[in-house]
Amino acid sequence: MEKILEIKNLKIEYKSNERTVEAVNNLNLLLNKGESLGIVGETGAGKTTTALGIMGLIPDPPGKIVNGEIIFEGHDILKLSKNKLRAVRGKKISMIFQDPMTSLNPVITVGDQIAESIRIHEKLSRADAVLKAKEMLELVGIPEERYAEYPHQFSGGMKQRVIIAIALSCNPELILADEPTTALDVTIQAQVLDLILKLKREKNTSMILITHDLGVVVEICEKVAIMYAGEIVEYGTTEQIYENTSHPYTRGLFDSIPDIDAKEDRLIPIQGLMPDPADLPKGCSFEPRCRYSTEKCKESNPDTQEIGNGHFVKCYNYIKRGEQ
Amino acid sequence: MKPLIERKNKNGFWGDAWCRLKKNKGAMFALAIILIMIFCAVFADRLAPYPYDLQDYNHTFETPNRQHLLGTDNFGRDILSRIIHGSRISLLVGFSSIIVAIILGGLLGAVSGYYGGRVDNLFMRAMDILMAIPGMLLAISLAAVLKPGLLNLVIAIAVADIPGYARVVRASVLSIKDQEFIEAAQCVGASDSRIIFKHIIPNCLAPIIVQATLGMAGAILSASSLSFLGLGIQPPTPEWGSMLSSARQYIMSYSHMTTFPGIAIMITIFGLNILGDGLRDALDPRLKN
Amino acid sequence: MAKYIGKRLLMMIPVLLGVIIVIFSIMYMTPGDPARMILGEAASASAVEELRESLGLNDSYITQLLRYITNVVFKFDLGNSYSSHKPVVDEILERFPTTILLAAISVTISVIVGVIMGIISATRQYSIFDKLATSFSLLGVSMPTFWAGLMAVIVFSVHLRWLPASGSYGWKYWILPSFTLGLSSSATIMRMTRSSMLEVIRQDYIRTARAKGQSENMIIIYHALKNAMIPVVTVIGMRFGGLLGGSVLIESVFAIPGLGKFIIDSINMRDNLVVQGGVLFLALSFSVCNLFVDILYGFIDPRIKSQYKSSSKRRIKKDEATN
Repeated sequence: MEKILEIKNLKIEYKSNERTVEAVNNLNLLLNKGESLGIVGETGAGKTTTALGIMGLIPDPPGKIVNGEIIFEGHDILKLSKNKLRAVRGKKISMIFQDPMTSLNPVITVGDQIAESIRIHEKLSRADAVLKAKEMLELVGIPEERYAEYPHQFSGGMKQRVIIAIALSCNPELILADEPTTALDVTIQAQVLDLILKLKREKNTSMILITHDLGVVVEICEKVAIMYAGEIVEYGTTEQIYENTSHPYTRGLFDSIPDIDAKEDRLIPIQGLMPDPADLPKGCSFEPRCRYSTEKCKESNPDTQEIGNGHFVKCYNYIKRGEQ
Repeated sequence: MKPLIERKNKNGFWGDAWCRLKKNKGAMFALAIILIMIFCAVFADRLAPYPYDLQDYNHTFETPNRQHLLGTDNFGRDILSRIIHGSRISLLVGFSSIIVAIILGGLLGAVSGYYGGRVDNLFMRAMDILMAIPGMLLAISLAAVLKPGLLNLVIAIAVADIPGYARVVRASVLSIKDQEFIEAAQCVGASDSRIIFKHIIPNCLAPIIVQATLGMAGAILSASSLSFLGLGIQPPTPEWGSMLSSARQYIMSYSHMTTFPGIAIMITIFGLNILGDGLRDALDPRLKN
Repeated sequence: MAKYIGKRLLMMIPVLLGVIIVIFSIMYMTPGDPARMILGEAASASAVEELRESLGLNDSYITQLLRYITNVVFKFDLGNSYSSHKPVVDEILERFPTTILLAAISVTISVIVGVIMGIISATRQYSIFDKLATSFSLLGVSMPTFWAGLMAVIVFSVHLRWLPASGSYGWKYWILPSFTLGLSSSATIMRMTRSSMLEVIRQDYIRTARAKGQSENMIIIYHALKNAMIPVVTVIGMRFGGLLGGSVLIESVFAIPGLGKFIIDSINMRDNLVVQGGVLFLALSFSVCNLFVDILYGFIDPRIKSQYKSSSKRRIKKDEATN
């Protein structure tokens, strides 16, 4: 399999008023061509920051990539010049944003916003870019007559379709979908997800899907990374994660999904809150909430270890197969 | 069990705002300027090295020197003393016209926002009309009709400022009116005037304070402009604008007469503007970038 | 769009009528007898009484007001000047272009200076340029217009001898007045542009544009500017009123024969009809300018245009925007 993206030891910090927040800490990831990876975690776990880091869009100040490499198609994105990075953004890697309500420019027609992306990266005349943008609109299920309308004339789901059209307009190699359905109605969520998947399959694009919904990931992705407080705590194929859940946090996530078939009529929520990212505990950051915690977990932060073929866990007392 | 989130603001809204203001160096500097101005105005008689109307024909048009730090004017009067005394008029006019405008505008705005409907429509269209006349022109026409003098100057300036306050207060009333604590007060049978004075007005104090600080700067500017045109305070009363008006004739040869009263106006306005900006940031932390 | 403009025009009518009533009423309160002013102290009481009767000054307030409104609206007649005995309209039209030209030059200067400096300041927040520009703008709004004019005369006419101090005989005479008149407006516009721009460049859609690979300059010009200009345009419109008021002062300082100076001279001569007409004229130009700004607003912000198609939420929205 051909590697498309490899992240090594990525560390991203936000600084504000003498507080330093480690948003992403020592993160490693590998993505092959055509694969989909789901990144799952609570709000504030550093998922969006990771995606923005890949795009080179961390707002600086206050954000800063302190350490690490992001290797995309053999080149470290962090070392690219501004111009080269711009040529990658939108063309090779594109991003679908979380909130369709605020991600479109209110004073530019949706069609022009799609055509803009095409005009930046492809040597097309204005008229051809408009034609292509209209094609993209049709592709995401919006009639091309609505080219000249403004974002406020669209519903949330339709706006998200426009954002998807922008993201896919230049046939990117990699799509970063940052909670693409969170801001939408439940009925629209499935439609939009289906659309993303269909387009991804047609063009054999790689994808990173960021979500806090483990259920969606299990359905869509081949690989899953579970993030907690800026770190990946468990990483593996969807099967490994689902069949052989090893990290206590992942276990907790599965336990808090309501299951219609299950006999129990109570969910088991994870106790407590995520630690203050500016003041992480000395040991494992999940330790204060962990049912399996020991003295060792309080003392030192566990390293990531491989427990199966490509299945990584960052825990001293991970749950072994059949132990649950 | 320990509460998950600790309550941080123990000082309440005003205490917090004061803390934020204290951190803003520019605003504290501005506050110092304003306090010094007020001090000068209150103790003008003791601070001024000479009586403001002492004429000395042996020492006219003197440029700044040891005896007269800012020089003397065409009558040999000490410019520094006149500026110090002038701060009285400026601050007095600025302050009183703002008070008048706040009371009238605030009342109009509060009634308008609280009752809504026809009353609101009538009042706000009236405000639209006042706002359609550029403020300076409205003040000029009023000052032209009324006899020159302190009280009339205050009225002329205040009228032009009324719509601004009416709008600020109306907007805050509208945003507060439908909140639940007002409904709760209505449920326990509080009267309209009680609700307006006890609940709504205290809640729109913050925007009014900001507007008033910035508005006072505008009022002082208007007062000096009107006096400069001969429509405000008349000589020989020391007022910055009228000092400039008389200094104008000698601008070709004695520019110090024009420079210093203007600097006094500028420093005062500068202080009020920065303080106003600082207050806005302190009172409404959401607005701060 | 035509419907929108039509509605704005209709809404202007009651406001302008109101303006006429307010200005007439203020002037009505003037102490002293216009007839006596026209005829002079030497005239006999019966002659004064006769003139009062023929000018309609003995009629009730309401009758006089209605007559004034009818004359203004249907005949475009503002009466005759007490001192020159010529029609006030002619006297005003003779001087009005000067004032409008002065205000137009100043507003152009302040928009160019203010918007450009505001954008540079916002995009380089906390840089030396930003700090200098912000301090300049604070000084600019703190200086009284007329004093800025006087100081400019001291520096550029008295000391440097570069530019003439007063009068109006060629383009050189316009430089000092228009720059000093535009000074506080450029400062206000710069502050507004800066803060509006800072607000806009933090928005999600700017990030979207970056994610497309758009260049920073294009992001500012194509994506940010149009959004940032929405509140700035309102401020420009309001500043125009300030400029018209300021022109009264600046024309007095630089002895420019415009409408502003004419109004002040007429106040000193107690020539009420001229003052009344002059103020009315300037208020009318301010309203026309505001109408223009409102229309421009509709072009910049598509949300306003379409709101207009669907419902009448506009008034509410506008109130919120101006507050």
